[in-house]
Amino acid sequence: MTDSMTFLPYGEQTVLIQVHKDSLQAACGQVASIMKAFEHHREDYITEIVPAFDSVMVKYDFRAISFDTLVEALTVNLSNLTDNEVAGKQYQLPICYDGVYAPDMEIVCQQTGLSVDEVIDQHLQTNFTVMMTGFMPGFAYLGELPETLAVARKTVPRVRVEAGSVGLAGRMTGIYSTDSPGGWQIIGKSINLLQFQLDQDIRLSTGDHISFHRVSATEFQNYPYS
Amino acid sequence: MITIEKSGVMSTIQGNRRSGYLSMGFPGSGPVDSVSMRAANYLVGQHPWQSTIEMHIKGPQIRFHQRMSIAICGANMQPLLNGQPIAQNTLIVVNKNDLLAFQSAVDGMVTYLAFNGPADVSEYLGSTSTYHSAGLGGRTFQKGDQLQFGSLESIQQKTLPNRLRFIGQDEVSLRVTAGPEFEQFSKAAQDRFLNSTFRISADSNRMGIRLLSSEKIMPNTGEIHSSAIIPGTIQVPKSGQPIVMSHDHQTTGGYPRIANVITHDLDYLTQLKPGTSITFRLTDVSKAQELLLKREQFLEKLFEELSGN
Repeated sequence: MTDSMTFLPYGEQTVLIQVHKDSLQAACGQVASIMKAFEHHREDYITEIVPAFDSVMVKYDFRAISFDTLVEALTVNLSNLTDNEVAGKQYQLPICYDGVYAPDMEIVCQQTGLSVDEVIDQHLQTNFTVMMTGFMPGFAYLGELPETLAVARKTVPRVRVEAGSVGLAGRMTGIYSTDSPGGWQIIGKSINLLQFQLDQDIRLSTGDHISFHRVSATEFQNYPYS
Repeated sequence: MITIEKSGVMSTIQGNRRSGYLSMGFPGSGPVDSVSMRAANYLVGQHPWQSTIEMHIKGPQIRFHQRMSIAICGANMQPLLNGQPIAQNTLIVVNKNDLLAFQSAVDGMVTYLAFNGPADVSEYLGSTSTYHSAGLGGRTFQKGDQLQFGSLESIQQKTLPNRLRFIGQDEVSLRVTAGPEFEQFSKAAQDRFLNSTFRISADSNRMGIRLLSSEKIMPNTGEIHSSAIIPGTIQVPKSGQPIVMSHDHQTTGGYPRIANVITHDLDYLTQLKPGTSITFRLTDVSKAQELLLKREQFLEKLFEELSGN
């Protein structure tokens, strides 16, 4: 299976496992398999692992192992990956689409030609896959939205988007994990994903799944991490 | 205890790097010039990664509420104690009610202030270092902030080895290793990158150092699927003007990564003032490891001798 990946030196303390697949979905699947393999077996000289859409960065203690020996070890460890989809963990998170939490709903309706109810239905019906974590603390890129729900980012990003805001951009949806500037189109509010992960000792990883269930504004306020 | 009487331009607590949370989106943070920070901690007899105050461009004014020993290392900020110039790179004893004032850095960007006693700073995810752009693990200093630093304990005066003394430079050649997307740049673009002189942009900070050049370095592919970033990664956005990622970097990015400044040289880069000319020269991973190993072994030996005393 290692013929579909290359091991690139990246700085003096990391190796980048670059995955080569025909589609982004397939690449993410491969990344999920690699992460699963590391879950089963991870040497002490590996200090950080950062999965992304089509790559996995591995930071290593170069005083304990050389780059060449590390690549040999990784080639062996990752030789038995299957192409079968790795069963990621499934999470269901609350979302409130009420107006106050959905400042860009009108823009999304204009861009997609869908009604508010249709936008909400399509968003609720999608079981999203975590395609990448990181970028900002606790963030997860969730794919893929149906083609009919794909929208452009805002031309001028907001200066501040509140943590928990659920946005759309291209065929991705994401939950802002910290208060930050941002250009995604905001259609609802979910939980503070960073605090949720830290407190519950959960690490979202490529290949995990997230679906949303709709709650009212009153119900939402009673949820932990809302 | 100390009180911040004037905030300065940008001062934060920086200590050990945050480790194990990179995949969640937390960069390591910590000092941008780890050599100068450790030099200051050496002089005050502390652990190499003990929390310090990292000051950018112009440091704060600090009032001491008890006698303690301090050390100042890194760029020369022309420190004044009660209005009188004091030396950097040496141990200084301050007394109750003394006022320490920093001026603008003359030969670099960043200066470290270390104390002879444990810093009572809370940890966030295993580190006291501030990740201020995300508003996590602390914030930049504000007037009136009070911090528990320092102790009455006497510290033996030590001489700082020359290689730990910061020396400002006007023209610098930095070593890089080829980045993951190096081959996705044309031969002409690679040559331009390795032969151009870049200037440090004023629009640089703890997240990244922007470079300016009359020659644009255009990649063959505009963007890649977002992938991991590490300190020293040189990303090339569509503008063709490279950005070197620093220690508060975003953990992933979608621009092609042409090269990586080797860790050994990154500490010098983050000290360079806007307008400084830099060039890059290619080296290999084993050479970069060798340079870093030598430096780290030197520092380890120094601190071992310290704890042996």
